[in-house]
Amino acid sequence: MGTSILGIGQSALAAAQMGIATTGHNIANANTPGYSRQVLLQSAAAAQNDGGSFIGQGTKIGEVKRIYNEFIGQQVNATQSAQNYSAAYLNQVQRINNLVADQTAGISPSLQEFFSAIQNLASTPNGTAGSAARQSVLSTGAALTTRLAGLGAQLDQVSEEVNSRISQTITDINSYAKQISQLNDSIETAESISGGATPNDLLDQRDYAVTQLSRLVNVTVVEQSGKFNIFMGTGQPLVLGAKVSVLQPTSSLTDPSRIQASYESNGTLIQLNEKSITGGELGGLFAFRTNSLDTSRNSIGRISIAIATEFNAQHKLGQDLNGQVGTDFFSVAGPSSTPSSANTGTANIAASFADVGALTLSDYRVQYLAGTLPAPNYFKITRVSDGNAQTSNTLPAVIDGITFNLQSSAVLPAVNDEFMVKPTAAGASSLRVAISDVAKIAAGTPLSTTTPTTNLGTGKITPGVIDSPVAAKSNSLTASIGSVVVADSYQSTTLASPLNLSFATAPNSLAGFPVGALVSVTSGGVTSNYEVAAAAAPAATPPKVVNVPYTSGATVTYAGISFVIKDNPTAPTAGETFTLASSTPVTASTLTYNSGTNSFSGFPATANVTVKNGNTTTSYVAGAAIPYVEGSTISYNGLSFVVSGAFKNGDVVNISNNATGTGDNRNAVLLAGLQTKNTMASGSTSFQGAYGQFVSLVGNKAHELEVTNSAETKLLDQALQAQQAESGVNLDEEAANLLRYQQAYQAAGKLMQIASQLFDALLALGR
Amino acid sequence: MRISTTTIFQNGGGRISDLQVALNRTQQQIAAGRRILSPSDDPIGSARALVISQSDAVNDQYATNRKNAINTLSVAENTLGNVTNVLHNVKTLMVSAGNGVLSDQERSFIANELQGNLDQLLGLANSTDGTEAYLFSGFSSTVAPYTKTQGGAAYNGDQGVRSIQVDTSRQIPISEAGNAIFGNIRTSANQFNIVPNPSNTGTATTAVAINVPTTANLTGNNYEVSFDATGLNFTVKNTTTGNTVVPSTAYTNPTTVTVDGMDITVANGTGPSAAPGPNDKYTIQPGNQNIFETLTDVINALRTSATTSQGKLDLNWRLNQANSNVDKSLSNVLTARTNFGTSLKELDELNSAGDSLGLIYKQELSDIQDLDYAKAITELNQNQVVLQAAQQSFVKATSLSLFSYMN
Repeated sequence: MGTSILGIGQSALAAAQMGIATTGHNIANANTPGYSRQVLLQSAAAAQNDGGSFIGQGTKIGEVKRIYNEFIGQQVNATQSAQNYSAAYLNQVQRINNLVADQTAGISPSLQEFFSAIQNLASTPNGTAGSAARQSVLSTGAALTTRLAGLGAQLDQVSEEVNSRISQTITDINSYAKQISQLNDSIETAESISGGATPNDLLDQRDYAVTQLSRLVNVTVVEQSGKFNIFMGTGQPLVLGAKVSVLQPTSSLTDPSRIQASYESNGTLIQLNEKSITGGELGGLFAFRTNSLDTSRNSIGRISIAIATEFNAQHKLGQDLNGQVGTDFFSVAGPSSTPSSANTGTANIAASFADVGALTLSDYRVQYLAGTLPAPNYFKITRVSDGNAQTSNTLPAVIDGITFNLQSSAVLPAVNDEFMVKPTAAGASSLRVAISDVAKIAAGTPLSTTTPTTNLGTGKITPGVIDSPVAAKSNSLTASIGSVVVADSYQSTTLASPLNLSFATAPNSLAGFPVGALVSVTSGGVTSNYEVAAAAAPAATPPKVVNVPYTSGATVTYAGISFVIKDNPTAPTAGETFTLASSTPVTASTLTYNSGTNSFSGFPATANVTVKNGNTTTSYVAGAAIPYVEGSTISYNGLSFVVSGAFKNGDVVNISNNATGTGDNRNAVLLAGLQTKNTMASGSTSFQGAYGQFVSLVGNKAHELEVTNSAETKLLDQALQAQQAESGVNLDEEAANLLRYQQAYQAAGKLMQIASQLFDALLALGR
Repeated sequence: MRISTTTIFQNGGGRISDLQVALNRTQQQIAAGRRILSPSDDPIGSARALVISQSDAVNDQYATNRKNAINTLSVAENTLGNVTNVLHNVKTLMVSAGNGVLSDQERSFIANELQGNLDQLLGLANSTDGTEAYLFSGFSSTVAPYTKTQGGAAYNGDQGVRSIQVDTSRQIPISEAGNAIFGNIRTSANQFNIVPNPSNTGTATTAVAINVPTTANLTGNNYEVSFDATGLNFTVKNTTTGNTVVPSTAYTNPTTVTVDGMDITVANGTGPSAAPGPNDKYTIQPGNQNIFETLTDVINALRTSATTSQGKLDLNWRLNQANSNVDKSLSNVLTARTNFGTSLKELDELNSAGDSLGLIYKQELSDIQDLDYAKAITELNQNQVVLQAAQQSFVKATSLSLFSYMN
């Protein structure tokens, strides 16, 4: 009987002692991250049947159990991924947001000052005030380029930091993955040694490591016989039991300055699809880079390119103080193309701007793919931003204002070769002012129109403008050339000597393109490319021809110049020529009015005159008399003017160059007008508007992420609180437990004392 | 419901941190005076602010352009005012020169005074705008518009008219080419003004047309066709230079001679003395001359002796013609002045329209981005109170512990 009481007391004492130890462990780990509180589970020991009644045998220590809810744990991991995704994205986008925060420090003040300087130049193009105005145009132009380049450099810096953070994140992911695989091992060993008891603290550590990993990248955990298998993103295994697949930061194949994540599989490095990583810091960084950083850099680049190109185009139609035709005012980098380092061929893409007004904010992927026989191999050009793809069997192809061409038409890429074309990425950082002499600012127009004093009528002619750097002429009596459009990449050196095309028959074609020239003919929406060669080879890609086929009304594109030759009213005669030449200097001519026919004659012999009256445009063949319609716009050889008033028979108007026009401000007024002209995004916005769109894009994204991030943070807080409510240590509770176990210990001690006294009483009986 | 000790501390700390962020933001807004600190605060507002601030700046620039335009136009207008005065003076002098009792010498005094006026006019035509750019030479602003020639003065400028943008959709001309102001005196409806000498005895006529192939040879000088005492031969003399350009030529009805880009045709008239009479003369002037040529002609006429009746007749028609030419010139100058005046008035109107537009832009900008101080300061105080309360309650809540009572 006494032994039994002592036994009961002893079991109670031991249980109380363990209770105090467990409570002490909880108190000690109250601040340990990832720690789950532990409780002592005890039960009544099996009772002894003592003839008719069961007598208790004391207490039995079950196990020390951690209070952990797996479901809440998963929720915490998921919200950690989501919150860290938005936090990483927000963090980065805030930097761009802050860059453009102050409207007095963005590009808008320098843009404004530059155009104000042009306006002042228009007011005083010459004289002492003029030279000050000219100097101010140069210095404010330089300030504008510095501002844009500074913004570009800051974005480049953000890009560098994103790269280094991606590398760091990948290192951290590897370290947690390794930790988890080691813990998988340790837990298995501990369980087998203890014979099935749960190693609570190791489990806590592993769960905590998974939570930490979730912060970096979204993972799914599949438990397999006590081991954690971790999968990343959309199923890429990261940890399988004790095996870890190590991630590596690698440079992108098509852009060495871009760090991506790769993993090794069967000895080869495979690039991780960025789109499969949808959470965690890594996901946030990838998303920021693709959706915001690239777009921001391209936005700034596109604005720089548009300013440079539009301004240059107008500037080159002007005349400087020395009486020379204007040159490029700004210089800016064109599209860049990087062949993938995995390419087997040596070809590269040469891209140029056809129309900067049509540029988008996207980059383009060009692939050369094998056609299914008998179809030939083809180029596939994909707009990265939305995945829109176009195919073409030959180059050049014009997409979104960019002309895609091969660097050398003789070197075709190998099948499956890939190129990344970035049209606008380098725009901002490469923008410079190209002239340094104030006299070279082309404020005037190289065209002068006069009506001599000998005229009898009151007819007038406007000062006139130069519309195009290219004059298209022809001596054909039955066909006309017109609709000249010059690509933004056009260089005046292309037509340093005029290009003479002569018409050939059987079949109808144009001869005279230089050998090796790539000529595109677009008719009815279908573009055919031809390479001009000494001998025809119709089977080649593109087909080699001696003469380029003629279709009336088709748009012919060569070296950035496109034009239309059409029957007017019938096809040209063999030997008639069509000429493309520089529109400046202007050929001096005297137009004489004939009252009998109510028309003007005296245009240059090969001029193809068009007359625009209201919305009606009429083309005339060379040598035709041009009917006079009051207020109509007469254009030929790249220049145009408006005639009005009452001319009398024999009255003349003189068209000549503007040799002494140093006080001419016509071009300055046109240049200043570019500020508010909608030249960007297919004519929908101005330079400042495009900058506003960029600011609004960044602001909206930052705002959206601020909202998302604060919501995600709330969710994470709630999940963490739920987890803490379940598993966290409450010190007051532990204090109570401490008292409880202390009292239990004291009571058990008392029990053993009583048992001892009972035994003593028994012994005393014998004395 | 359980709560862990960590949660108590984290929640309290987190809340205090949130409140501090809010307090700091309000403080920054107050310090900057702006509601929008970065585009993310109001993305649409910031983009709009950018567009409006450009419109505002462009509007300001148009105001500067208008100021420049007003300066240039005022200088030109002022110069033309002086030109008007000189021309009035010229008219008075010419009227007095018509007085038949004046001697040759007295007329030469008037001629001298007219010469002074001519020089003065030439100076005014060659005025600059104060920045070394000529006012009346069109686009050729570094070239003096008029240079003196034997026949008067020749225009060296072009017909360019400089315009500047003074409003979103308005370009205003701020100059006028000199030949429209000082030239453009039409003496005839035809290309040449042919005047038979009032003392001619025959009724033969002279007609002149431009010889198109040699248009470039036109001089703009005055010519005279004169028959000799027999009335059978004629010569053509450039009276401006004094050179005989067509030597004595026999006359048959009709005769055409081509000289200096002109086809000069002399033909018989009607009536009893249809053939040219002895010593008959025909003066050929350009159909369009400038005021300097007019004045030079009249000065030359006044310096020519007019004591004979023939001479008096000759002088008279020359004075009459000059008078009418000066009237035409005055009308040209007044037209130009009116244009300048209209432009100045329009600029004034545009100025006030631009000013009120600027106010609207600034108001709009302020609405978008400026801070409501009263609201912000209230918010700041409120945040402060809440933060204080949170801090105090945090200290209270965390100081409670069962361990404090255990001993």
